[in-house]
Amino acid sequence: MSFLAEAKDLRAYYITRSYGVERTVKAIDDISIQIKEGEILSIAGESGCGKSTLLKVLLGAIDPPLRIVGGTMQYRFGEDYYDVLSMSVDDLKKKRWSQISYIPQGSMHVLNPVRKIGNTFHDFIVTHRDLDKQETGKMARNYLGRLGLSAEVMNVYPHQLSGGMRQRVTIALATVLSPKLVLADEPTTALDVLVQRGVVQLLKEVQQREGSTLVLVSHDMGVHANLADRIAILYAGKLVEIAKTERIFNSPTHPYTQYLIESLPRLDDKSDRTSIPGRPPTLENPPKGCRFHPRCPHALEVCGQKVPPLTDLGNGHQTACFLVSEVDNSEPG
Amino acid sequence: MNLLKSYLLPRIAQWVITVFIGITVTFIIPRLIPGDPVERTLSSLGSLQTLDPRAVESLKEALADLYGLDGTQFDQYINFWKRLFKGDLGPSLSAFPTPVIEIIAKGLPWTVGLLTTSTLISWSLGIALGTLAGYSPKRLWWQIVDKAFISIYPIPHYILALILVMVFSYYFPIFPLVGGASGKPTLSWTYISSIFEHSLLPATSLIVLSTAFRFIMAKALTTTVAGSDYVGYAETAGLSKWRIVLFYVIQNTMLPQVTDLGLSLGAVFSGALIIEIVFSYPGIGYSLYMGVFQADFNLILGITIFSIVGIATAALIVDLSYPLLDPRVRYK
Repeated sequence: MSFLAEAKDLRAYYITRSYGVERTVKAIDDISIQIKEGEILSIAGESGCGKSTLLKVLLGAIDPPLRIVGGTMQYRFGEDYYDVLSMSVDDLKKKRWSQISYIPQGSMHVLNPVRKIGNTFHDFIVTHRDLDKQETGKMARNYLGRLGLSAEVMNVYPHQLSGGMRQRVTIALATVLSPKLVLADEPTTALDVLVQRGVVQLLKEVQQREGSTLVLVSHDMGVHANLADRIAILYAGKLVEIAKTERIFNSPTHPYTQYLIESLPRLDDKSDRTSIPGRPPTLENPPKGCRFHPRCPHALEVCGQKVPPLTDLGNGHQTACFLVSEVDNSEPG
Repeated sequence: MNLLKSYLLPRIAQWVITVFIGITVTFIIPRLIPGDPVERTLSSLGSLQTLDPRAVESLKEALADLYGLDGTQFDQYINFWKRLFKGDLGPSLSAFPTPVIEIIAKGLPWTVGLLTTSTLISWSLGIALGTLAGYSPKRLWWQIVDKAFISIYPIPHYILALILVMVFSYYFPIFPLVGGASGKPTLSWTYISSIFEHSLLPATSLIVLSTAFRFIMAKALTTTVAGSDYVGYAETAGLSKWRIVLFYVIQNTMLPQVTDLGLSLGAVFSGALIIEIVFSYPGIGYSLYMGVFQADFNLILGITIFSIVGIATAALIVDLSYPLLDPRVRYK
């Protein structure tokens, strides 16, 4: 399968300077990841591990204080390759919506409160398509209809819609131009469980109907289990494990992933869930070697000295842990 | 129908009550001032001793009748409303027997013309510049404009007016010093251009300072809106800058801006006192000044009524326009 977006050895830091003191938050530190055409890739991890930053970089929305310090980032649409990091902001914006789209975190507030939904659709469509108001209206209504949403929403203001409805409208707004790649940042956060289910189904439907690729960031493992083809686990700005969904849930190899999966409630097991000992490290000054080693119960001596490389376990399952890779052959981090 | 009952009627009732209380208070206050306007007029006439006491008495009655001061205070109040509904504001005391309404009618077009134009210009200019400056605060050009307006803003407008008069009417006599126009009021170009010529300096002093105020206000409002999620999302989607500024930024700052515009336009009827005095502009602000100076109660009362009705009506219109500007304000 060919890739749609690819990051190689990507480093993206938040660099701020105030009163002459420079602070660097290493939100993404040496991550390589390929997004395959037509898949649903989920990115999981706890708050502050770099999930949303990775999504921003994938979107090409790199605004200060976020800066790319190293690595490459490419899109491939058809036969054309685009180097995201050297593209101008205007060129990137032209690719948005028609090729790459974005469903933001907290969609409750992304719709202009004083503009009718129909006008907002018009604004977004007309930016990328040369159509008049009637045509954009028709296009939006048809698309809403295909997603099972009433065309009535075109004539209302955002505040007249419920939270779940607003999220659905935002998903429709983001995908109305049939983009190849859809990036969704916590699309179900702040919704109640029932509405979450509807939104998850809608996302899946859009992805299947349009044959698009979906990259989903969430800290809700239930959402991942429901949607994802592959899951990438991030820890403290690093990719620690990536595999097909069943493998992540059934045979996780990285100790962090194991903790994550074990923390999920199970029907047949009523015992208390244990949390991972310790706290996540600050991204300003992460631990040397494997970033998880201070909290890892299986930590070896080498874990504190070298960064474990991403090792291929076959079947697309990759893990960055010395417990699975052979320590002797590992390259020095 | 429901809309009329639950939204329109209470607001119109509120307007009626506001105007009623305002005019009543304006009626009472001059009557609390010690001294009798009739006596004051008589004493200003001088040598009454030489007159027949009966003649003085009938003169008093005639004056009291003319001033609307006969009968008890309550009778006066009722009569005052009766006359008011007929559009009679009584005679001017300083320019007796000219009716107050005539003096106001003479001054009002000048004031309304000058203030409405300058308010509309400074409002649009302030919002346009302030929004752009607030939306791209890092541009050097907007930072310069910002600093300029912040330095201009604290200047009192009469100081600016005096400077303009001195520079452009005295040292370099480009613009006329006094009045609203020259020549006979006709529809000729010379007359109309003389109106412009006369109003340019007063309008400039009004526009410069209120643009500065509105610039600062628009910039502050824009800063909040520009950081909102919906503007950020529109930017991510690549919407053009003018579309974002127009429909995403300005439209969301309209509520306070329209309130400001409405109340400023309502305040037009109270005149621009100091500016009109500095430029001897023949508007109602100037008339009010003369009225205060000569203790012309009827004239003061008349102008105050206009200003009360003007501001109350503006507030009503602003209130009624809210749901059109922001759909979240419902007709309740």
